[in-house]
Parts: sequence; C-alpha cells; structure tokens
Amino acid sequence: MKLEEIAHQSADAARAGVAHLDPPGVRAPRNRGRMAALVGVALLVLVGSGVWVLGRDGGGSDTGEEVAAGQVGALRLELTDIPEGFVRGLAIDGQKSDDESPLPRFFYFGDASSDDPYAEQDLLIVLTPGGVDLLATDGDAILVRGSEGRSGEGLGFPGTGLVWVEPGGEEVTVGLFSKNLDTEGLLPIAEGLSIQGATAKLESGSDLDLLTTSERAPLVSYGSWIFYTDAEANLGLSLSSGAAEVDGSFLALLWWDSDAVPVQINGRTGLLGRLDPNEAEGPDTPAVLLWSPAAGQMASLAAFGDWSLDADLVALAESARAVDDATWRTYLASEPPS
Amino acid sequence: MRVMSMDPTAEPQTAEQAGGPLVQPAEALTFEGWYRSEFHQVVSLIHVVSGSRWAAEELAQDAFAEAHKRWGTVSAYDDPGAWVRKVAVNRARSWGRRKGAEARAYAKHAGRTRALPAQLPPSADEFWRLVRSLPERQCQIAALHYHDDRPVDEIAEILGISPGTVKTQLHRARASLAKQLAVDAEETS
Repeated sequence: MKLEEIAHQSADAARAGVAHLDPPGVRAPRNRGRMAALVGVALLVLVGSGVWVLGRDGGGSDTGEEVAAGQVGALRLELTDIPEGFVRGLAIDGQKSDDESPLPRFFYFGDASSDDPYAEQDLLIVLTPGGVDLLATDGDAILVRGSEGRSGEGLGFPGTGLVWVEPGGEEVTVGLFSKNLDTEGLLPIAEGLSIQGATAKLESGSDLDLLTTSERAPLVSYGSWIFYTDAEANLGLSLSSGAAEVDGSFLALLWWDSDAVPVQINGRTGLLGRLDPNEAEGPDTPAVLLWSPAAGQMASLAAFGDWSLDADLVALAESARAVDDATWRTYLASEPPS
Repeated sequence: MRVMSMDPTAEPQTAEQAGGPLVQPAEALTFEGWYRSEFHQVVSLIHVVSGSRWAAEELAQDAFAEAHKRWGTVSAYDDPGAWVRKVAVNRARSWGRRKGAEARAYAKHAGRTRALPAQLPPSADEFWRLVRSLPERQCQIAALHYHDDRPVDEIAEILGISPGTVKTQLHRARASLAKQLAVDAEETS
C-alpha cells in the first residue's frame, strides 16, 4: 500500500470520527461559562503550585497523614464534605502526554532583592528550539535583530510580548514578555540579548536579576480530576490531584502571573487566589486553591460562584481524602449527570 | 472583488477601494452557514494535529469564536476557511504547553453530555500518531496536506511560510512517514 493511500484512508477515518458532532452555538470569546474556565485555570497552575509550595517552605509535614498513602502519580482525591445541592460528576484520569515536540526554556528576571521580585520590574524570556514559533495571529509586525517579529499583547503570555525567530545554525524562537515594560522597553533588551543555543543572557549592566530558569513545560494532563456541579451546572468545583513531576517550570510563572496568597490546608501551605486573567475576567473569575497534600503530590480545588475564599474553599479542601482504587474505578465508570 | 488576505488585522478591501468598480458578492456569506459547513473539517484537522478529540473541539470552537468576532473582516477573505485553520492550528501549537482547552473540554463534558469521543481505527490512529511525532512544522504541513487536501501555496499561506519551505518540509515528512510505515513514499503532488 502506498503512503498516499494510507494517508487518505486515515483522513477519511478522522473526518468520520467527528461527523456525528452537532456544531454548538458559537460562544462569546471570553467568560463563556463558569465550568468551562474553571478547570482550565485549575490545570494551568496545578503542577507548578505543588512545586511552589514545596520550594517555598519545604511543603510542611512530609508524612502525608492527611491522605491515605498513595503511590506517586496515582493519588486521587475526593471531597468528603460536598456542598448542599451539589452532586459528584465526572471522574477522569489524565494521560501522560507523548508529545515529543521541542519544549521551551524559560528564563525569569526580576528584582532579587524584593519580596515581590516581579512587582517593579519583570521579564520572561522563552526560548523554543527548532524554530517552533510562538507567533500568534495577533500582534504588530516589528523588526527585531534584523528579523521579522511580532509585538503587543496576547502573544501567549501575560503582558506585552516581543517575539521573533532568531536565525542561525539552529533556529530558535525567542519571546520576551513583561508586565511592566512596553514594546519600546523590550526592544533594547532584545537587541542586547546574547543567545547561544538554549541560553539567553541579558546585556551586561542590566538592572534585571536572573531569578530562575526552567527547561521544560509541566505535564498538566498527568493527574486525576473529579468534578462537582450544582443542579444547573452554573456552579462548579473541580478537584484535581497528581504527582509533582516537574522541575519548577510553573513556579515562577505562577508567581509572576497571579496574586495568590498563602493559606494553610491541614497544616500544609497552599496558594489561594483568583488566577489567570487571560482565561476569565470579572466577578466570575474562578477561585483556585492549590496545595501539596503530601510530599511529591499536588492538588488543586477550583470553584466558580459566590465562594468565600477564606472559609468555604479552604474548608472544602480540608475535607479532601484519598480514594482507593476500587472506588475510583466506580467513579470512572459513572456517567456524568446530563 | 475581494482581496486574498489572511492578516486578521487587515481590513477587507473592495475593488472600489483599490480604484475599480464596486462589485457586490452575488451571495452574501453568512457566518452560520459557513460555520456549519466548516466545523467538522476543522475539528477533525485539529484532532489529528493535537491528538486530542477533547481539545480539538474546544480549540476549533475558540477559532470559530474569533472568526465570529471578526466576521466583517474574515468574511471578506477569498478563503475564510484558511483563516480559521490558521487560528486553530496556532492554538493547537500552544496546546501542548497549556492544556487548558482539554481541561475545559473535560469540564464541559462533565456538565452536559454523556457521549465520549469516538476513537479512531487503529490504523488511522497509528498514522496520525506518526504524523504528530514529526517535527511540529512538518506535522502541521502533513496534516493540512493529507487531511485537508490543501495545495502547497495554501498551506504556505495558512502557516505563514514560503511555498518552498512547505515543499521541502512535506518531502521530508513523506520520507519519514514512509520509512516508519515501511511503504512507498510516492509523491502525487
């Protein structure tokens, strides 16, 4: 059989696989639904949160007494104190991604002497090898280091971005992002940047301190989720858990990208806030609580609606308990409420 | 007369603006009709590029929502379908880094549907898995070529690269796929 035949048969199969779908009504680009953004935000920060907690204060007790002993990567949680009117919905085991595409490398710059190192001056540099570009459909065309690039907001990370493909023996796409600097402020930094392989260095004399780097993105789909909704599916809770198998990629990004505050969950430090302004805005912005229930584990609880951040969500999180395999299998097999 | 452009920031130009007579399209393109005619193909395309049917539907809807928001401009393009594919493929590109789309799809599933996505037959699943294992640009080009039957110049326009690059990368993608599938990489276009 020829390659073209296999390809066309595979294309036919792919099209047939979605032929039954009824095109849904087109939604508004933002704030399309509470449940919709809820878990998106929770997952966005899930993995890094665990690392953040562990990195900031050692993660509290490492005995894991609050949860039943679960193998790393297999911890699954459920709420034992479900709010009145809510029902348990879908349970899902995420699958580890087999995506082998080049991963970006992140460099975070700020003021190392400040308690809030990104408050006054901040810079995120993202290097993506192989010429895999970050160019979005939005942005203004701009010449950077002799190459065509894009500048503006909405280029993949918060704040103002400046993105271009750096030519050379091995192409690399470079993205500079800042919440304090505009394009005019980013351009001279870009022009003075030294890029060698997977390393980026600022021009000597820069006021910015290199705070941390990370070499890979977190695998946010690797974990388990359980959802709770009210009768109208307008209020929702998402509880996710999994292993903290990352190197801190989102540690700095989470800090940079949020106004979360530390809280205590059964004696262990967590982060609580309304996160990811890119995903949701206004009063419906989801509340997200992230914590490490045991060493090497992370969990997040996200909620929409009229939640009291300091009481309801923390109390709910403290009611989270590990689920044994047999029970979890029954959850996985359960159909979600229609 | 409409001018071929997929720059989302560009305003549509009429022949009158270009100095010629104004010619109204014989039949106005409605968003609803266009959306319904393109939806399945775009979801399927993003499925094979991303590997996730969950994310494909979500990412495609995001792209169509953008098209809806800019419909006055997008509808003036010769090929609005190319524009929405460009947006969807770009979003699928960053999906690996931020899998919020898949999470949103999970959440929506939890709230309102019982039907799980259908799985592809093993042979098709294997083929598209191999496509996704290619370097990202080759993956996108192969998907647009094999799935969407797009010619080289349209793929170049969608991905914002030169036709020559498309040809080169498509040739490499074919060779790689043929080798892994142990089949003949005869090129038909």
